[in-house]
Amino acid sequence: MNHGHSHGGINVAPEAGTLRFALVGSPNSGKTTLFNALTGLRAKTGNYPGVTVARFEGTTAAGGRTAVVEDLPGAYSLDPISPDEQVVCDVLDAENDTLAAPDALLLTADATTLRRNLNVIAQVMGLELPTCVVLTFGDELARRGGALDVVALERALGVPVVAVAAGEQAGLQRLQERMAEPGTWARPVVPPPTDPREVGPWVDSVLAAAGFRAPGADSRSRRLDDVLLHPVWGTAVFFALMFAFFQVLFTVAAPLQGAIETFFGWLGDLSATHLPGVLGRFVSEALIGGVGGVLVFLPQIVLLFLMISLLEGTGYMSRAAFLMDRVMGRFGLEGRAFVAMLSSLACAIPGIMATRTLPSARDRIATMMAAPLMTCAARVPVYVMLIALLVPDQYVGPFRLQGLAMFGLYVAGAIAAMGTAAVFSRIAGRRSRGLPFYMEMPPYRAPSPRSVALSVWDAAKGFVKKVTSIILITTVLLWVALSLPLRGEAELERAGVDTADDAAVAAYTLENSIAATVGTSVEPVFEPLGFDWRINVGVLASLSAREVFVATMGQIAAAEDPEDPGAALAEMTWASGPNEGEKLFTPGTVAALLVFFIFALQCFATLGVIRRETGGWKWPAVAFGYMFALAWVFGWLARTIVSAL
Amino acid sequence: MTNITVQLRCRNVGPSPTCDPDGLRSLVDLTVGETAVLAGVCGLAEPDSGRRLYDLGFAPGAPVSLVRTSPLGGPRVYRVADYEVALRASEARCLRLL
Repeated sequence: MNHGHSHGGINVAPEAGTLRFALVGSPNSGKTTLFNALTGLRAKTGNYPGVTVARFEGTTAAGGRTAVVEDLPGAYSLDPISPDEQVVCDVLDAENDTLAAPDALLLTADATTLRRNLNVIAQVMGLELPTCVVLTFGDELARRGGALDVVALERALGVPVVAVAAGEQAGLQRLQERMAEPGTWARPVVPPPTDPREVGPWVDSVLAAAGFRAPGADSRSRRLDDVLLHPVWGTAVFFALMFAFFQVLFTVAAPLQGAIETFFGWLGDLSATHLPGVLGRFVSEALIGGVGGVLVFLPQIVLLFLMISLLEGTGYMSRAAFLMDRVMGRFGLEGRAFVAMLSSLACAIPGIMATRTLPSARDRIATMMAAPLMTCAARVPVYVMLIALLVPDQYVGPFRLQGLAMFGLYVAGAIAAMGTAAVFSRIAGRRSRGLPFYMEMPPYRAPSPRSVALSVWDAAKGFVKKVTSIILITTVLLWVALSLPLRGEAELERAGVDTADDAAVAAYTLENSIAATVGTSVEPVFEPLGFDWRINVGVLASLSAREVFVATMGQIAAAEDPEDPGAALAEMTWASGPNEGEKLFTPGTVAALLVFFIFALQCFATLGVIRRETGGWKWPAVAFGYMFALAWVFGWLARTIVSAL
Repeated sequence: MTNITVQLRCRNVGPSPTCDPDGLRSLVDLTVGETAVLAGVCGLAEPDSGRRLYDLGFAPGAPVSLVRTSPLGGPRVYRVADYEVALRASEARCLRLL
C-alpha cells in the first residue's frame, strides 16, 4: 500500500507494496531505542513540513520484506498540546493528505508505567488501525518487584503484545516477524472508552486480567536523587560535571580542531604551490578553506552531542533541568534550555542543535534566537585584539583590568542572551497556547550505546550535509569579493606597489577590491559607530566567521606598516571624509566595535544550523536582522557614552 | 482532526460536580511522603492543561504522593500512576485532593 504523499523531503524505498509502520508512544518509553534497533544506519532525518519538528524515517526487515518505519515524536496523548504531538495526530489522521498515512502502528509502552500508558493505548486503539503493543523494560519491572503476564495482557486488550528488551535479539525478531503481516493482527471487538469516568475502570480491569503488580519505587534512583537533586549538593555536582566537561572539550576538541586546521592549511598550501596563480589561491583559500571551515566544527559538535546524549539517555537531563528550572523560568524558558545555553559558550551550533530536547516549540525558537548571543569561542580572538586597543594593561587590586574587561564581555553576552530569550518567549507565547510545565523523572537507566552513537552520528552527519553548501558558497563569495578585481603588474607598478612583495600586493588588491567598494558604500550606515571603510571590510569579512576579523585587519594594517602591524593598527587614521587625519581607533570606536561583536550574528554556520533545525529561512533571517539592529543601536550607544567620558 | 482527538477534546477532568472545589486541598498542600487521593482538576486558565495533567496520570481517584521539594519555590516531584513527575506550583495548585 504505497500512498504517494509528501515525505517532507525524505525518500525512503517507495516501491509499491512496501509496508509503512509508525512508532508511537510516550517519551522515555524506549521508542527511539527500538527505532534504532530496527533501522540502524538506514534512518534518515528531515523536518515535518512547516513546523520545527524533526522527522525520522528508516527501513527495516519485516519477515523477509523491507518495511518503512517512521519514529513519530513522543506523545503522552492523542489530545495534542504541542506541535510535536500535533504532528503525531496529523500523521495518524486518515483524512490528512499532506502526510503519508501508516499501514500499521507499533505502540511502545514502558511496562513499569503500564497503568499510565494504558490511557494512550486506549486512545491509539480507538484509531482502528492495526496496532501492536511493544512492551519495554519488562526486565526492570521484574527487578523492581513488579509482575505482568504478557499473554494475558494480549488477551485482555485484544491486540498483539510483544515484549522486547534492550540488547536482546529474540524479542526484536519476534516483533519483526509479526510486522510481516499486520493484516492478520487481532483487533478489539469494541474500541476502549475515552471518557474519563469509563477509562479508570477499564484500566483497572485490564491490569487485573493481566496479573499486573506495580513495581516498587526504584531504590537506586531514589538514593542517587537524594544527592543529585539536593539543592546544594545537586547543584554542586551539576556545575562540577559541566566544568569537567568543558575541560575535556578544551583538552580534546581544541587540539583536534588545531589538527584539522593544520591539515587543511597544508592541503591549501599544496594546491597553491601546484596550481597556477589565481586558480591556486581560489582552490586553496576558498574551496579548501571553506570545507576546512565546516569540518573544524566537528570535534566540538561530536563531543557536545556525546555529552547531551549521555545526559538524556541516563535520565540525568531531567535532574539538571529540575535544578535550573527556577532560574530559567524567570526568563520565560524552562530548565532544559540551560544545557543548550551552556553549550553555546563553546559554540552556538551544538547549543542550537541541543534545543531538540525542549518539548515546547516556543521554547525552542526562543532558545535558538538567544543562543548565538552567548560569548562563543570565536569571539575571543576579536575581544583580545580590541581590548588591547581600549583597555590599559593595568591592575585593579589583584585583578588585571584587561581580564576583568573580558569577563565583563562574557557577562554581557549572557545577559543579552537571557534577555532576548525572555522577549522572544513573550512574543512567540502570545500566539501559541501556553504549555503547562511537567517533566517526567524517569529512573536512572544505562543508555543504549547504539542509540548514543547513532544520535552523535546523526548530529554530525546532518551538520556536515546541510551546512557545507552554505559555508562553501559564502566562503567563495567572500573570497571573490576580497580578491577581485585582480591587478596586473603594470597597474601595480603605476600605483607604486612593489610587485615582488606579496603582502603589499595582497594589501593593494584588498584595498581596491569589490569588498572595499562595498565597505566604502556602506560607510554612511556605519559612520555613526565610528567605522571607516577598512573596518567595514573587516566586519563584512567576519560575517562568515568572527575570527576572520583579526586576520583581515591584520592584512590591512600590514599594508601600512609591514614591520609592526600592531602599532599601525593603533595609529591608523581616517583617509577621507569629515574626520580626515584623525585617529581611527578612538576609545569610542573600539567600544562600538566590541559591542557590535557582542550582538551581531557573524557566523554563516549558525545561520545554516538554525535553518536546518527550523526547516526554513524565516528564523535565520529574523535572527540575523534583530541581532544586526541590536548591534548597531548598542554600538552607537557605546560610542556615544565612551566618547563623552 | 481524527475522531479520537475530537472526542478527547470534550473530556471533563474536574472533580465530581457534587463536591465544592474551593473547599478542597491541592497538591501544594502535601507534605513530603504524604499520600492523598485526587479529586480532579480545577482552576486552570487553559482547559488543555487540565486534560494534559489527566493524561499524565493525575486522574480523579488516583493516589498521589509528594516525593521531593526544591527550595526557593522551584518545581516539586510527585509520584502518581507508578512513576515520578515534576510539576511547578502553578499547575500543582489546580490539582485538588479529596
